[in-house]
Amino acid sequence: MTQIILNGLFVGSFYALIALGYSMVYGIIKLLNFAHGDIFMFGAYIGMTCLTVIPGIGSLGIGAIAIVLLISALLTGATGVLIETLAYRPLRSAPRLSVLITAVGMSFLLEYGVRQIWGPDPQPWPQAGRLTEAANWPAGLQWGAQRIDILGGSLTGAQLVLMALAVVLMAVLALYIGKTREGRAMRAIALDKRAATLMGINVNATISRVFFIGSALAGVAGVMHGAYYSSITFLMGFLLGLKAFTAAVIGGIGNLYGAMLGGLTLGLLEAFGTAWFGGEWKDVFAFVFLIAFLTLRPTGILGERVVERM
Amino acid sequence: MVASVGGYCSGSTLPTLPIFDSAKIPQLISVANSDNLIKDNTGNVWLLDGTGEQQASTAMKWVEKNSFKNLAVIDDKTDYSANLATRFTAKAKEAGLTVTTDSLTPKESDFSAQVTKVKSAGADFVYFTGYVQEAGLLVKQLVEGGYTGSILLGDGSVDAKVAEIAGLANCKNVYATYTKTPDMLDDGGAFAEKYKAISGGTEPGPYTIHSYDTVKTWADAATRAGSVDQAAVNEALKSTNLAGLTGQIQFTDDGSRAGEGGFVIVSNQDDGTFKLYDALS
Repeated sequence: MTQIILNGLFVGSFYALIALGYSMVYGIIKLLNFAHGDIFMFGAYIGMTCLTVIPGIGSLGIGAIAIVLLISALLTGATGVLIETLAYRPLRSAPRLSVLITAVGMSFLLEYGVRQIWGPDPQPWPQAGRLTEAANWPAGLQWGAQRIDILGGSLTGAQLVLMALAVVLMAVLALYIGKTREGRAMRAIALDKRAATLMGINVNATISRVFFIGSALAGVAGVMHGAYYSSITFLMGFLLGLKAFTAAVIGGIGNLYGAMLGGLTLGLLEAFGTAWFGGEWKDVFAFVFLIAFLTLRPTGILGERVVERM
Repeated sequence: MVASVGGYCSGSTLPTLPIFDSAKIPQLISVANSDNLIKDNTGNVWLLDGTGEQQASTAMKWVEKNSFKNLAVIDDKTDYSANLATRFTAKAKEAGLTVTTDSLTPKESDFSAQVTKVKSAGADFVYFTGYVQEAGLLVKQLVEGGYTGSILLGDGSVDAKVAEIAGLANCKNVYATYTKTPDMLDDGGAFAEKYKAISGGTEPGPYTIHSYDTVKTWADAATRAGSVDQAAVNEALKSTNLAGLTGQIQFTDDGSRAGEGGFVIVSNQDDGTFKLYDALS
């Protein structure tokens, strides 16, 4: 039982990180950015490439993973901004369906672009960048590659590190949106774009910032995924993107805390679903909840309590 | 068109059956090996590779040899994988062993649910019948999740990528049921040399000798029939008795390969590539 909950929370923290980007973008410009899952995949490929091409990075152990996380976050963030500027901004006043279709197009562009460059086969993650390799952990921190017992269940140290990283990122983001000038600008645009413009807020810059943050989080999740699971494919963003979308809907799309809550909830639902019905029912179970929420409570768990989006 | 030679994945070979059948074209299937391929055979389908049934028998022999008692069987719901898993599970239950079954979804990465199930069942043996990518992930997550028993993979997962994904250190107890590859031949590399001379330097792949045997089988039948006529070749194939590289080639009445199917146990624990471990003979 404890093990099932721990499994669910671990997977859920991935969903939550990706769902944040989905939810932020929807909150500010009402766009379901279906390319978001592929940014996650792109982040993983950038990470893998950095680990193979940067000379000497192999000897740095977990330091290498930290460097790669940073590079990948910056590059995926920039990619997000680029996609927004080139593909979504010209369509900002077009019917929402046009933008949605453009997002699906962007998704294909990223998937098959990556396939052209890196090939269609699953790519093994370089040994030097694996969180699960004992050799990558310095002496004294060997617990990182070992199993740690928690209330009758167990997780590896690597899993705990990744969950902690996800929590820290989410906390920083919540502070940024809630306490800073830029965060206030984002919330203002989410409420009323035109009024925000009249108040002197630079709408384009703020939307770019949202795309940067959301995409960078997805890129971080991509590297975390590679460093833990050790295998990446060019289509891995598709299913995970859909799951993150489901998580965002469950939590209340457009709502920041909802995305985090939704991610963890979906992770737990899947973990219990597979334990009760068998592994082959995992996706069925997840998407049944998507449909149930869309029908019965389209605003999600937190949709009503928090009036303000973002 | 006088014959078809080929077929790697059972799931994608199945839909081609009615098309070849409508013209009664001899279809010699070199690698795909689901029992469903010969279920509705009207006399033109010939399986050169051992069937799921034969592979399951080999896996069962391995289990008996090592006296595993508590088994877990995981498939990925594709035709080949489910077929092998079902046949194996039936045999294990017949032998009075405890069997836990589960399935996973291909292209997923997180198999913690399956790991938890295997561990809570207290299994000492896991048979995974799916393909390479999931095999690598599953092996990694099983071992890192604290599973210490033996892991057997089906022939769809025999690839060096398994160790690359799982990490060689996690492959200490990994074995697979597989048919012979060129490097397991007793000819001291003569076949591989000849192959490289003709192919312009390309090494033979894992299924080279299967394809080689398949073409030879058709050629043998056509020679005996004295023509390439489809009906005549189909008739001649029935009485095939040819010494192939994968073993003696004979067919049963339903078109499957007679005998044991030539399955052996291979392991990747040395350097990540699968090598002959136990011929079980």
